Amino acid sequence: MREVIMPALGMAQSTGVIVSWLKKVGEAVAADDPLMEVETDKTTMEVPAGHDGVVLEIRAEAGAEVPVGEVIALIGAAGSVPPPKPAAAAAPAAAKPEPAAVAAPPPAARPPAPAPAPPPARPDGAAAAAPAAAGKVLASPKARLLAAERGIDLAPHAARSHERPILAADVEAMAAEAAAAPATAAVQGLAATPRLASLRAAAPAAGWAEFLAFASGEAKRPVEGMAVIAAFAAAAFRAATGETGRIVVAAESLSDDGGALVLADPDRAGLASIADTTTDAPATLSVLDLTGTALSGADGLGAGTGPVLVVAGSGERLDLSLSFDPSSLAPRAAAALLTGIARRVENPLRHLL
Amino acid sequence: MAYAKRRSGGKSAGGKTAGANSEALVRMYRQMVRIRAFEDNANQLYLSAKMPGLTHMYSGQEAVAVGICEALEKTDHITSTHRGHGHCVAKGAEFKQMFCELLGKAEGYCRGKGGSMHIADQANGNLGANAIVGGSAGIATGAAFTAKRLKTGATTVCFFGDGALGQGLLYEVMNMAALWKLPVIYACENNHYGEYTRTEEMAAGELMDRAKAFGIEAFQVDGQDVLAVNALAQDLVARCRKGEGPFFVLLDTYRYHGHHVGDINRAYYRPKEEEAFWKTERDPIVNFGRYLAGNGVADQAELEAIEAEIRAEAEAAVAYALEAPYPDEAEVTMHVYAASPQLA
Amino acid sequence: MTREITLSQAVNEAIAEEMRRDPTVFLLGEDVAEAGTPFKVLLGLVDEFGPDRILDTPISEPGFAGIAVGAAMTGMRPVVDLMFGDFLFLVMDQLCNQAAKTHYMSGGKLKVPMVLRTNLGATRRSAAQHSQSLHALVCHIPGLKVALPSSAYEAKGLLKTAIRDDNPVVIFEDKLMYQEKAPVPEEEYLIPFGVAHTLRKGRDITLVATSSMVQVAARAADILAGEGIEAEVIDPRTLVPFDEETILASVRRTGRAMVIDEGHQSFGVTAEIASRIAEKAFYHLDAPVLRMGAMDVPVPFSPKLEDLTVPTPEKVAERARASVKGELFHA
Repeated sequence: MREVIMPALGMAQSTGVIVSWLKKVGEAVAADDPLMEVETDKTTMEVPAGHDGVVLEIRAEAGAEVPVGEVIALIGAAGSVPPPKPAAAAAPAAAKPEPAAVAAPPPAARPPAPAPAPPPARPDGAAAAAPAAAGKVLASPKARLLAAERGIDLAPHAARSHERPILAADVEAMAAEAAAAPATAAVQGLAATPRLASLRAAAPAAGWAEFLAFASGEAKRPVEGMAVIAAFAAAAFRAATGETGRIVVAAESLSDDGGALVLADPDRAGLASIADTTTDAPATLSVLDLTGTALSGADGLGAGTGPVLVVAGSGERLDLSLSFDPSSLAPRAAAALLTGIARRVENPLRHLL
Repeated sequence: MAYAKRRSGGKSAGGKTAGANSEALVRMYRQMVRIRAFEDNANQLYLSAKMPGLTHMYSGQEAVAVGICEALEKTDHITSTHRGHGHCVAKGAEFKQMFCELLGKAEGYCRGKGGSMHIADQANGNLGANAIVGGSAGIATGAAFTAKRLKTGATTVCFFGDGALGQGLLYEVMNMAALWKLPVIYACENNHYGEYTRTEEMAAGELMDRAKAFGIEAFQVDGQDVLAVNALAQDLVARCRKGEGPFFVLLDTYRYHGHHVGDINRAYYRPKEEEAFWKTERDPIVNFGRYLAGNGVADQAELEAIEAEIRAEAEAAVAYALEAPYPDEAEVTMHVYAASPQLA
Repeated sequence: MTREITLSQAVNEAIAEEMRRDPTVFLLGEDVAEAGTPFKVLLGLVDEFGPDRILDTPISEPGFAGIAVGAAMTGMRPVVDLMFGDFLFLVMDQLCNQAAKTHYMSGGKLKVPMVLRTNLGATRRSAAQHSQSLHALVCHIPGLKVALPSSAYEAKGLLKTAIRDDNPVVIFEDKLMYQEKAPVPEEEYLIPFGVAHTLRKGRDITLVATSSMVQVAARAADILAGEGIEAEVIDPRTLVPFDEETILASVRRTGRAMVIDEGHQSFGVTAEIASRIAEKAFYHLDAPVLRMGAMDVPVPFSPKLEDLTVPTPEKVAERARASVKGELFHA
C-alpha cells in the first residue's frame, strides 16, 4: 500500500488546493495516470498517481487546501484494507517535511499480510465476491475470446476488473483505443521533420549526486545519472502524451568516460535494471548528457527525429532544454514533458519509489 | 385338487385337447424337459462365470408354465417374471436366441439389452419378463383391455409369484379387470418362498380370498400336475374368450434352486428335507413321464430319447451363444426411442 | 382461420380430433367422463366417444397407468389423465421402470405409444401435494419424452403430436392457464417435438423459459424493454427431445442467458439447460448463466408464503438487468 502526498510543486509552496480528483475510490490507476488536479501559485496541473494499483481511500475532498507532504490518498492492491485514518490528517501540517522522509514509506503502509476486505453488501443479497488473487483478471469468457482474437492484453486491467468484470464491450473499447494510439505516436515523436522549437528549464539538483549514490547502493551496482534521466524522460513523455506503448530513449553522454545507450521503456524498469533495457529500435526521443563536461548547451544533435533533451550543469542545478517539432509535439505537451522531467530530477525519490 | 379328476378328461372347450391327444401329451412332456434342460445349462453357465448378471431358476415349476401355455394360442399374451425362462420356453421361444440373450449377445431376443430378467418374445406373445415383483400386473391387464376393446379374442395370462401378493398394483388392476370384465388370468405361482422368506410369514389370511374380494372367480390347482394345470387353463381360457374373465389361479409349486443362482446356503429358511421331498416325490417331469409310460402314450426309451435330443439341442445352443458376437457398440443408443411412423 | 380458445378447449379439441382419427386412441383416468376432470378440461368427450373410450377409473393411479402401458404395448394408444402432477410419484414404477424401458429392454421389439397428461404449477393455494412442478423427474428418465405447452396453441399442437408418437410421452399443462385464451387455428396442425419457439427477439440477453414461466419471462422482457434492454425469449416447448441449437445460437448472439422454470431450482431443469449453455457456448458468454426456479421448499399453503416461492416477472427482470449491466455475481 502506498501513500499519495500533497506534492510540492513550487519552490516556495507550503500548501496545495485539490481542484478535483480524476479517479474514484475503487478505481484502478497506473503510476503515470493523472490522479488529481492541484492548484498552486495560480497554476493548475495534473498530478500523476505515482503508483500502480487501486485507489483505496481519498482523504481530502476536492476544494480542500492541504499542506505539502500530507497524505491525501492511499493506493494499493485491490482488496487490501486501508489503515485507520490518522486523527491529525485533516489538520494543517506544521512544517514541510523533508522530501526524503516523505518518500520513505511509513511502517504502517506495509502490513505483513493484508487482510481480505469484508464483502460489500449487494443489492440482490447474494454473497459478495471474496477478493480474488491480486493480478488475476476477472473477464467474461466472451471478453477473453475477443481479447485473444485482437491481441489485447487484459493483465493491466486486473485491478479494475475486481470492481466490475471486463466484458466484451470493454474489450471492444480497448481495441478501438489501441487502433487509434499508434497513429498518434507517429505524429508526436517520429515525424521526419526538423526540430524547430525549444523549451528550457532549470531543475534544482542539490540532492542529485547523493541520490545517485543512494540508488547505486540500493541497486548494488552503479546507477548512472544518464540512465535515470532517460527513465524520467520516458515517464514524463508518457504522462505528457498519453502514450501507452513502447518508448525508446536514445541517450548519450559527451563526458570523457561517458557512453551511449538505447533503452526501451526505461521508465518501466526498476532502478537497478534501467540500463538492462537496451534495444536496437528507433528512438522515440533522445537525451544528450553534457554533465561532467564544460559544455552548457547543444543544438542540432540527437538520435532519431523525436524530441531531444539536452542536460547540462552540475551541483545545485541541472539545466534542461528540449528541442522538438511543434507540428509533431504540441508545445503544451512539450512543456508538460519538460516540466515532468524537471520535477523528477528535483525529487527523484518520489518518482522512483 | 378340484381339477385333478379331470386329468383324463376329454376335449375341453378351448379346442386343444389334452388327455385324448397323445401328441399333445408328448408335447407337454417335451416342453417341460426343454425348460429343465435350459435351466440346467443356464445354471452351469452362471456357475462357470460365463454368464453375467443374476438369474433365477425355474426348475421345479415347469408344469405351471407348460400346463398354462399349452392352453394358449400364439396370439395370446403372457407377462412373465424375474423367474421367467420357463414361461419364455413354454410360450414357444427358441434356445439359441434365449441363450444369446442370457449372454448379452446381439442375436438374443432383445439384442442383449434385456438379459435374463427382461427376456421378451413378442412374436410368440411374451410381453416380457419383469424385474419388478408384481410389475407386470398392469401390463397384463392392459393387454387384456386391448383384446376386449379391439375384440381380438386373445387372452392374457399374468404370471407372478406369491411374493407379488404383497404389491398394491396387483389389487388395483384386479379391481379394474373385474369392473371391466377383462380376459385376463392372474396365475399366482405359489412356490412358498418370497426370496428368502416363507409365504406364511408375509401374506396374511387366505390367499384365495384376495381375488374373491373383487368378485373374481379363484381356483387352486396342483402346480406339479401338468395335466391338472392344463385342464384348468383350457377351461379358463375358453371362458375368457367368451367374456367371462377375469380369473385367479393359485398354483401350488416349488422351486428347486435358491431364490437366485448363488443362493446356496439356504437351510436357514428352507429345510433340505423339504427340498428332497419335492424333488423325489413331486417332480413334475418324472411323474408325468410315469403317467405317459403307464398309459401307453410313450415308453421309457422314447422319453429318454426325447430328453437326450433336447439336452443335445440345449448344449449346441449354449455353444452357439458362447461364440456369438456381442452387439456392436453403436447399438447402445439404439432403441431408446421408437420411430413414429405417424409423424414421419 | 384462427380464433381464440382456452387452453382447456385446446386440449379437449386435440383429444377429440385424435380419437376421431384413430380408433385405438382412448382416454382413461379419474373422473374423466361425465365429470370431465376437476378442471373440466374433458367435458363433452364422453358424449361423443362413449364410456368405453373415455374411461372412468378407480382412484388407482399405478393401476390405470400400468393398464395403459400394457394396452399401448398391444396396439392401443392410451391417453392417461393424471389429475395432479404430484401423483407422478404414485405411478413412477409403471412410467419409469416399465413404459420408459420396454422398447429398449426388448431390443426394439415392443413399443409403448402412450401419453400421460398431467399438470404443474403453484399459486393455486393447493399446498404441498397439489402444487408441484415435477417435470424434471421424468426428464431424467431415458425413454420418456416430455412436453410443456405454454399456451393454448402449444397445448393443442403438442398433444396431437404426443398421441401420434410411438413412445411414452408425459405432457405437463399449467393448471393455472386452463382458462387462458390464445389464438388457435381452426385447421389441423401439429407442433413437432424438439423445436423451440422464439417468442421475442433481442440482442442483450436470452431468457429460456418453460411452461408457466414463458409468460413470466415475456413480461420480464416487457419490463426490460422499457429500460432499453432487449431480451430474447425462447420456449423450448419440449424438454425431451430438447432443441439445444436454437438456444445456443441465441446465446452466442446475446452473450447472456437466464433459465426460468417452475420446478425446484436445485438439480432440475434450469441446471441442465444452464450447464449445456455453459458447456457449449462458453466462449460466447459475457456473464454467468443465471437460473431461476421455484424455491427449494415444499410449496406452502399460505398465499403470502406461496407467492414467494415462484419466479415473477419482476424477479426475472431484476436478475437479467444486473447481468446486462455487468454486475459481478460470484467472483
